[in-house]
Amino acid sequence: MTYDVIIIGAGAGGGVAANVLTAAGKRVLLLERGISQTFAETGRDPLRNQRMSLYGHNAGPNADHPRVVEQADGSSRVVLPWQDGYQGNAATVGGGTLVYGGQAWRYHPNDFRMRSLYGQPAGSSLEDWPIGYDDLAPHYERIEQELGVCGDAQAMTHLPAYARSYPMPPLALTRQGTLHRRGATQLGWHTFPVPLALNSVPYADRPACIRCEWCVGFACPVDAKNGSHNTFIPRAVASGKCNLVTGAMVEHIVTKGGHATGVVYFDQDNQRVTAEAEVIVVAAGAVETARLLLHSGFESGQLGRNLQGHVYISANGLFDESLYDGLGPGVSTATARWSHGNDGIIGGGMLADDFIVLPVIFWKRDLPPHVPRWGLAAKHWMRDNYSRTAGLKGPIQDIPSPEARVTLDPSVKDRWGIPVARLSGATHPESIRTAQFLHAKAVEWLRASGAREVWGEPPAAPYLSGGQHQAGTCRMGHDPRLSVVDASCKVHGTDNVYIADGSVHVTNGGFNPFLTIMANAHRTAEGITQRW
Amino acid sequence: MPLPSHLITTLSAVADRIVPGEEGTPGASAAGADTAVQCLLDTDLVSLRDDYVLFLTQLDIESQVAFGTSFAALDTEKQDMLLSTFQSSAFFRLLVEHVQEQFWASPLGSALAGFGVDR
Repeated sequence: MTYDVIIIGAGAGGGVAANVLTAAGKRVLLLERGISQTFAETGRDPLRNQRMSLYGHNAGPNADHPRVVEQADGSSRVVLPWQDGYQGNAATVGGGTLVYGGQAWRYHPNDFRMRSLYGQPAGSSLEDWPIGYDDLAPHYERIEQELGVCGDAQAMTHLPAYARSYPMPPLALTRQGTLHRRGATQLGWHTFPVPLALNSVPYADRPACIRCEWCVGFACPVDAKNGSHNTFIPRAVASGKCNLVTGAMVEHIVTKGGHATGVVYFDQDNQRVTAEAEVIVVAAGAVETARLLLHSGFESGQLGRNLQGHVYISANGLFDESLYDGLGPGVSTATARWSHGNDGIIGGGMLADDFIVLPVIFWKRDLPPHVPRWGLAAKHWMRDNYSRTAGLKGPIQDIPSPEARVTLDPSVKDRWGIPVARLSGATHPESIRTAQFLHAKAVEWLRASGAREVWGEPPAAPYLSGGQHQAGTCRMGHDPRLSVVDASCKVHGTDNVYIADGSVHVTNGGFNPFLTIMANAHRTAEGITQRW
Repeated sequence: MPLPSHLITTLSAVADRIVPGEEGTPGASAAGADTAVQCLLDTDLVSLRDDYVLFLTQLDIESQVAFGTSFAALDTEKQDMLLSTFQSSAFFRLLVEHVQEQFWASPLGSALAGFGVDR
């Protein structure tokens, strides 16, 4: 089989790349290790989803994809995708976008120049991106229009003026959003609607969001949540130029010198298949992309390093009145007041109210520490207070560490005989200081909104923060000694291998990353078509 | 392999002290949380099955020694008293979480919290 382009991974970045490349007339093989899933197949299991996966996932990966986690004392353990430390993301057509909450953030212009603004703390690998906000702005705009994002562009005053508004207005405000906007106003903080990749009104021949309570962690029952699975990938396939193959586990990229000739993968029947192409685009996520490149023999002192995601802060408040209105997805109001410019702090982060939290997730993660874990008092607390709580959350700018990394485990292999990813290290300690700063702001906001009790502690010590926002393992840069891909996202030392996922992020912004992944994949794919 | 029937009875009684039923609101067994935990002991929690057997057996023995009858036959006050002696047991805390997560994940538990019913 010979194609123009082989794309590995049908998630956020891979889907966008497939659409751009097929629109330019390229014949594309799009390989995805997961399967294509409907809403019914994904289900609504509160204990098995991408928000809480105690006993498995609803959107992959399955137990065929273990990893090894190296612990601080040097020991290691094998983990399955739903166990602590795995740093997982969904493995299905659409990747995380099938089941995400869809917060469609542009990064702040300062997110691209962290080293210039803050220096490089000892032991960190804080750097500037080789591109800036202005380079991505037109691609953000294209994605917002083509994917379908609702929001209020004029309210995004922390960003340069948008050339074009979001294609849909924001969702109607929730009770908790009303409360938090009032609190922020009292503090003098500017807030705005959280931009969301869902249809607030009918758009692109699909209906408007029905505002169900489930949303994040699950597929959409009416297909009003916009991901690559229901936008870019079907458009690519409809072009007749994209062959989407699911259940395809790529073993390695075939290279001769600095030139790739194709890939070898195992199909759904576990048959080894060789496919050839003129260009390879890897978009398997920051862990699997690094693993694949390492297993394919790519050499770089930086490959696999700087694994990051987001250190998150979370605080909850108890209010006098019921805030539960059942209007999903729930997240509605944010501030970028603390994203940058904080005295003595590196970076900062966005703060926003939360998605509707399922009762079991609230029980597992958000219960105040004074509530007993069993008996009538525990039950009564949940009955009386679940609907009167509201949380604030925020991703802080991770300060990357070169020691937070993906390597190949020397002994553990998956069922195809491929060495699994070995994860080690932690974010830089400065990330924790920033998180503690942002947490204090969340507490301040909750109190201003009227919370009579606030709980939740910021992280106390560095940890590995990849997770669903994983990034950084193939960072972008001009100097091959300090980066893995160049500014066009072509792997240094190759002439036809590109990366189109969060791996290339030098830093990961103080915002959810998918829109930046898509915008940069769009830029990368357009760049390929312009040069070839 | 299912738990022996007398231990299933004990497990249900324990579950109903972890999430007690009351007039008008369900407890753990009414919401199916005890049955869900039993099912997990054959699947995802199979590695803990022996620990469950050991704990539930020990609980019944303690009940016989202290009160001359099985745990399930005790009144709720004595059941709570006996379970309180296991407060510091790591396994008991784990069992508590297994029951609670099944309860709050169930339709009846979710509705009790107010999820999906307050539009």
